[in-house]
Amino acid sequence: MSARPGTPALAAEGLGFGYPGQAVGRGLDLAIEAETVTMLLGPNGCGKTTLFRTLLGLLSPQAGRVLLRGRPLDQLPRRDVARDLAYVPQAAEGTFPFPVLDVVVMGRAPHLGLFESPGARDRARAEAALDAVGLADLAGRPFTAISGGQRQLVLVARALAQEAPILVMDEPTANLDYGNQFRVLERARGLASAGRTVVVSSHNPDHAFRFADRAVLMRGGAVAAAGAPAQVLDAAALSAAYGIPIGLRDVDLGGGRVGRVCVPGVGPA
Amino acid sequence: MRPGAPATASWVLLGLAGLAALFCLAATVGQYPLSLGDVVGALWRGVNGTAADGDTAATVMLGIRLPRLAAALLVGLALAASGATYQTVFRNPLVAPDILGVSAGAGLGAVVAIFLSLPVVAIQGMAFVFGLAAVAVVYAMARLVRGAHDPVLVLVLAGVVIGAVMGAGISVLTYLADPYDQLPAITFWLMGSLAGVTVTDLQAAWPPVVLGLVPLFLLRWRVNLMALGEDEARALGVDTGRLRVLLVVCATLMTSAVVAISGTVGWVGLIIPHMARFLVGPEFSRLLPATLLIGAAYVLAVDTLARGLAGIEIPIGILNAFIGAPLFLWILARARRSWR
Repeated sequence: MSARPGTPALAAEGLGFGYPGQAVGRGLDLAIEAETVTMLLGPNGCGKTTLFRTLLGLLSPQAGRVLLRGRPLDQLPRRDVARDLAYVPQAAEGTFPFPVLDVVVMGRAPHLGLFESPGARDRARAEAALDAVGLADLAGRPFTAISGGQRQLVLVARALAQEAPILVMDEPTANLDYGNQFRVLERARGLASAGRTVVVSSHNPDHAFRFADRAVLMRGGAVAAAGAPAQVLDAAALSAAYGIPIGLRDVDLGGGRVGRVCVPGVGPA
Repeated sequence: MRPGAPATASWVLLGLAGLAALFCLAATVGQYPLSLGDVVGALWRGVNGTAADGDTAATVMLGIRLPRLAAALLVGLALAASGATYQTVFRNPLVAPDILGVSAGAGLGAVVAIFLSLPVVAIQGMAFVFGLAAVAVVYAMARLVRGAHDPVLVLVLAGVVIGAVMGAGISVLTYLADPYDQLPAITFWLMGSLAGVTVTDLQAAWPPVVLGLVPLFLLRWRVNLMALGEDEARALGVDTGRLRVLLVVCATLMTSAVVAISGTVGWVGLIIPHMARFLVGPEFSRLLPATLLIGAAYVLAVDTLARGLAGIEIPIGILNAFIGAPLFLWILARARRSWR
């Protein structure tokens, strides 16, 4: 996977995306830098999930193209894409009660031949991935019987077992309680620090201030603003995006660090 | 694999031993009673070719009972394995050859062939073509109305609709059939029975079943990925379109091959995968051997009851419904978790 330095890990050029007969966005340009956390924000229906499906190659672009390390995504074999790009969907319950470890082992699929079953090495990697998200003791539990937060972390572990350098996480915090939201995003942050590239969407701007290197604010299928969270997400832009007054406040995190938080329903400071 | 779960090889061997024992027991039942010793002895003489003329036990065992028992095993394992495959591929524990309209479609194809007085191979071919057409139409219907409704419900309802249309087609042919020759054949066949199975039937049925099983066995781990759903499976590098078609064709091939010789034997494709999942979990590398073993044992046992329960032969389809329906309710109540 050699690429020229400075080539974005994942990029969209003049991307038109949507479903047959229904354009969701057009002319979208986006560059995801390697080893960063990029967070997509935007109101419901702005096209985040559709954009993600297009970036993952699950939905064909209506115009423009998606580039994976500078190479057009639609010209790469599915298996090669899967070795480079992992998808962490919103955790659904699943149809069948697969043991958690079996779910994580499925992340090894792009590394196995068509007729191959995972071996001891794959199982060891899956165990290590499960351990990395702190759920090693759930290995034998049915995926259908664990909590939503645990399921989300199991899917993160599956992406780790996939060993893809780029992770695309679609609203991983959507159905999680306060503590699990933090745990999942903290894990995503840690992955970027360890050399992976994370693209994640969220409905909470505070998540961007806290965990992201870059924020992308979307409106109506287009990028309204992109850049460092503190620059892009000002009170005016957030208020316009969500249609409510939003104020920003800086809080003392201790040790001389300052964090920024959103306060909905109040004006600028 | 679950930690602490026994290795697949060990319970498969155990299951095979159990199945062999059941096979010998089942062979003792029938119009001409044989002892367990007679059965084993006749089988042994058959294997090493020392069965002499006038050896009644060997004649009954090898000429009459063996084809019938072999047919029961084949029908059971094929229907159960195709049921497990449909359930995993369509991510729906409620689907089965009968519910997807495959059985009815294969039934119509077979009845058309019987109506035209075609040979067994043609009955199978017609059953396969009609069965595949039925499942394709059901799946296409479910996709067309997807999004507006619960996809599981749509798939099941589409299967019911197609099953009804195929059933109407069967009724038309039954109405038109020659009442002295074809009608009894069609009626008996529709009730599902292994009574008329001949060695020729068996020879026509086992190759397509094996042909369907080999890809399932080779792809056994990859089949699991289909249970994740379209997006997740593709994001893991799976060519879902091709894999789905291949698996459905394999399952339909197996179903129609046995439907052509046994008639419509319901319930097996639905309940056996549930029982197997209950015992060994949903992982397909384990689920496949378990469904094969349990399916074969189940139909063998039910067919033996059909032969031995009363003085006359009870069609297996009828007995099967009486046994299968309550069994299904019991599974439904016990293993509710595997339903979600």
